[in-house]
Amino acid sequence: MSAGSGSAPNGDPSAELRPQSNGPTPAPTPISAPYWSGGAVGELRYQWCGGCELALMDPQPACTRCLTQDLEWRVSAGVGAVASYTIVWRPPLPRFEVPYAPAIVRVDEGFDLLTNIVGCTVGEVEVGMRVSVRFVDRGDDVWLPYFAPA
Amino acid sequence: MTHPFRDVAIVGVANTEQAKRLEGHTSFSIAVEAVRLALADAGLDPGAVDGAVGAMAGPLEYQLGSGPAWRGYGPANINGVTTAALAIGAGLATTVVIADGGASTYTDRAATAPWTRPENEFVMPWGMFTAAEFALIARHHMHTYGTPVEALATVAATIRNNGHVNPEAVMTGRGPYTVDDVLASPMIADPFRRLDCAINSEGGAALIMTTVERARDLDGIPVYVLGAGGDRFGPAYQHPPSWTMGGRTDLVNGYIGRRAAAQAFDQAGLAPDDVDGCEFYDPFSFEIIRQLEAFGFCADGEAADFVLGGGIAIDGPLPVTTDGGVLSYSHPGASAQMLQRVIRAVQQLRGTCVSNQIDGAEVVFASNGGAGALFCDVLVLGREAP
Ligand SMILES: [Zn+2]
Repeated sequence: MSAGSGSAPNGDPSAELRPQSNGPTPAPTPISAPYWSGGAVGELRYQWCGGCELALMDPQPACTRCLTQDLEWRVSAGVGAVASYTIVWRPPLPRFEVPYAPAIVRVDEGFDLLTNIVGCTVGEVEVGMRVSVRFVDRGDDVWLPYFAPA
Repeated sequence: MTHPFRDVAIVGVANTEQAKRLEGHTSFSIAVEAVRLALADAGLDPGAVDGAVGAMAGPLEYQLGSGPAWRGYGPANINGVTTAALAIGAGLATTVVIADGGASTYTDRAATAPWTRPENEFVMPWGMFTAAEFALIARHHMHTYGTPVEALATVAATIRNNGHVNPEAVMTGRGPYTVDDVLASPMIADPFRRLDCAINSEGGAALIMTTVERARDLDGIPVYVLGAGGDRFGPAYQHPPSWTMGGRTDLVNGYIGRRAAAQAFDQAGLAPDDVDGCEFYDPFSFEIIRQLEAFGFCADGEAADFVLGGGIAIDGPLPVTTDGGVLSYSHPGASAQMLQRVIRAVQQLRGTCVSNQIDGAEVVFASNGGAGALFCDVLVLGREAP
């Protein structure tokens, strides 16, 4: 079983959390492209249904409550709180450098976002921690919205 | 209202040998071996089969010389068993085989097993895989209720010790395990350590269902579907596996399976107190704590104390996953290991377990899935016809 790349001892709380240098890049679809490209202009974009006042994430063809396709792209302030997290020490593929911290961030505009927490140590991540977006350019008009302590 | 499964009986079950590696087998060939064994267990000829469920249903129809046959387009798990029961009850088929197997599919050992890392644009860049998805659910519960890691480790040690004493388990004789052993194993996806996580292996599993009328002519002990249910919140491993799924407060993803269990108990006219044992699906240790609460065996936030008090031990009030489950018995692919929860429940009710037999088991609860995967299917099985 591979331990993945990375030099920190297993479980080390002082290990630094950084963006992946060789992680996979998502292939945007016509529905998701505005979300992935927003980082180019520093925008964390999300869909908004004006009819039932619902923020949508991840991008959908229609509102998950009223099914209208009349959705508007809005720009989030990019700030929220960690709703849950994990620290991965044994990655699914060797290309991932450990440790890294998958997390669900509850963004202040009212949607949940899957991301990784960076810019702090393993031991500093906790539920409720305030975080803000840090875009990482992956090329091909894709910017990954990582989050770091606000 | 008459019971929806009153005309249906489970009459044959079989697992092939389960091992880390089964040389010379493909996923299909080991599934075929399981079907042959299950038909022999039922005392039925291959020609009796006129229906199949599972990803291998098509090849199995041909292999068995069936046809024209009815086919259920579901996986060979609790969902597939339920589909087969509905089809038999509706008269679309008389004798249905539900089977699957895994062999020669997990070869790149630098990566986790292929079924743990489905690709999707919203999860792939974040290094998500099943352990991380389920860890996000566990963390929420630990934060909300103060659930200690010792409770997770107690689940892992208990179920792995069930596998330790099971001569047919892939991990037979590899224990016994203590809570400290689990807590000393390497961290995989916090709070899950290696011994909190499912193993991987190879093997086949099959189950045969037929009509109650036909079951009367067979020698074996029939087992009945007293209740069934299934809950889903969308595709697995695509959307964030949050506890609430968009702020819901009524039937939350964190307790997925709660509605399903209530439906199943209602159909059965039974309550959690009537259950003699639980064959819970155990991909990660925490999932057992969650299921105990979701299905109503414990109040919300109280399953950790129940587990720490020995509640799920083989000599406790509610033995859980008595063959070792996917933590220790076997995990041969995408669905055979889920069918194995049903097979073990049937063995408990027939009194044919090779280890950890629950004396006089009359009602056994089985589950598949979990909150990290946004689905949970359940069955209440019994020795008396509904
Ligand atoms: Zn709407």
